[in-house]
Amino acid sequence: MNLTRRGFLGLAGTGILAPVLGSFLTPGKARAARGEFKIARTTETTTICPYCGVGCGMVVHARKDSHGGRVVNIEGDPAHPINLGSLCSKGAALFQVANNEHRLTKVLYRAPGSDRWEEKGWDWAIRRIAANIKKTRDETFKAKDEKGRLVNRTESLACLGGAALDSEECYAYSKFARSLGVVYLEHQARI
Amino acid sequence: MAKNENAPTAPERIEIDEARLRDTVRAILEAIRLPKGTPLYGAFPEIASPEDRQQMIDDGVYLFRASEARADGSAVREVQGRLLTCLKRQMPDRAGEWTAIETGLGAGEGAEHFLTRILENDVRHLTTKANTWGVSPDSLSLAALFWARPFREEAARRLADGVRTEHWRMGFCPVCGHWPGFAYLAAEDNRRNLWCAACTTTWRFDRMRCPFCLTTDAEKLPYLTIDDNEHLPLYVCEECKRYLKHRREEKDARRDPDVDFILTVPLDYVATNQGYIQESPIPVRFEKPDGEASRAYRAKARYEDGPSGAGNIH
Repeated sequence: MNLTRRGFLGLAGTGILAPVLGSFLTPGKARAARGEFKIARTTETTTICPYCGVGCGMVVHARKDSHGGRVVNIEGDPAHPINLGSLCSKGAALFQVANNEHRLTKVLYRAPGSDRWEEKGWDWAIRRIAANIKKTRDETFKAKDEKGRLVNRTESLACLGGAALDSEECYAYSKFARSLGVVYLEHQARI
Repeated sequence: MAKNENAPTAPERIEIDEARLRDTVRAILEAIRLPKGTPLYGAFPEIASPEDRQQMIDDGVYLFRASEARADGSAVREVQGRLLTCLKRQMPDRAGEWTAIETGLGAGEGAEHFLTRILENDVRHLTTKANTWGVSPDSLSLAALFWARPFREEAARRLADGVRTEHWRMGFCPVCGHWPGFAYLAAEDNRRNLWCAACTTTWRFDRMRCPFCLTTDAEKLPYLTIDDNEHLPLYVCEECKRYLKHRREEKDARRDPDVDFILTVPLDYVATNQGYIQESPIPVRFEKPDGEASRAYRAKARYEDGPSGAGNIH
């Protein structure tokens, strides 16, 4: 759209301000300017701080750009009942986790005995983790204890839930861990 | 560099003479300020007790009943005279219109009657008079907004006295029922405070909810920033296409809502060019507080998901 100042003054009905205040436009600049407004569109999404068990609410501001998208701001969620908009210094600096040149964006694997990291795919990593869990569980699973009591457990695996897990995720996570026979099951909030 | 297809198209740059406009806003506010103690109302609706007013707020019903108020004639004429004199001086390019308004008010029904209709939010009357007097409805609206200001402020002062609005969850003003004209994001806690351009009341409102249609779908509530002015986000609603200008406040910053409201006029220009709708501060949200539309809005504001927009009248 290429509105001249005359066109701008003709925008009657858009509200009371723009048409009436047209005379406050800097005339020379307004007529001659050929620059464009640089308009950025940002969306806000609520989330939970991943650091500790308090579970503070956050608002993440994300903006699409030529690289696809990026986080441009993170602030406390004023409507969240736990923190009412405030954040600790660590949470307030979370923006730097999202925008950090040292942040890993790919899976890195260092084989036993190796001195170097290899790039791997997510599918490979998930399968590898699953295989290791199954191997450890199968090798260490105990159906009965020393006194012959039924226990169905493994004492060689431990699970630690993170602060970013919500109640439903914690429920699913604990069910999964118990199904493996895990007895060392903790959550970050209790530590 | 790949083109971002989601980026809004940019209109031609418009620049505004901020210093002159700021002076004008301050001159207008000075002009309409009558000496302390000047009676502004001949009759004012004493809405029973604070308890009754509290009940209205708790029910989501705004307080001011213009039809029951009668502004004081001499105060009306005094504000009118001072305002139009100021407008002629500050906005001489529209001097003909200010004079036409002055003449029209003197020749016809009179200033008192016209202001009463403005306080009643009678937009049709305003438009009819603008046509009769040969002035732009926008110019008359601007004059009407500031002419009615001291009377609405006085009404707000009387009506909000002793009333708490912790449970006010509406997007319109709890005192006079108008849509918000501007909003602030507080530095301390990121809360949103809406500002009424009609009576200058501010009230808290949910941050991630459209005050106009109450949608809470975050995907439909983005904000635009223009020319890296991150402190002046323009929140838009893709559901109802309305928008609201905001200022992200710095800590301990002094608010100057009228100046913010008017000096950010380039944002109005950008928003309307992007297809969004500016809500005029002249008409109220619901003419009939107990009407069907009002009840539906209030029900939605109360019972839909989302936390409370609790806050106090300031």
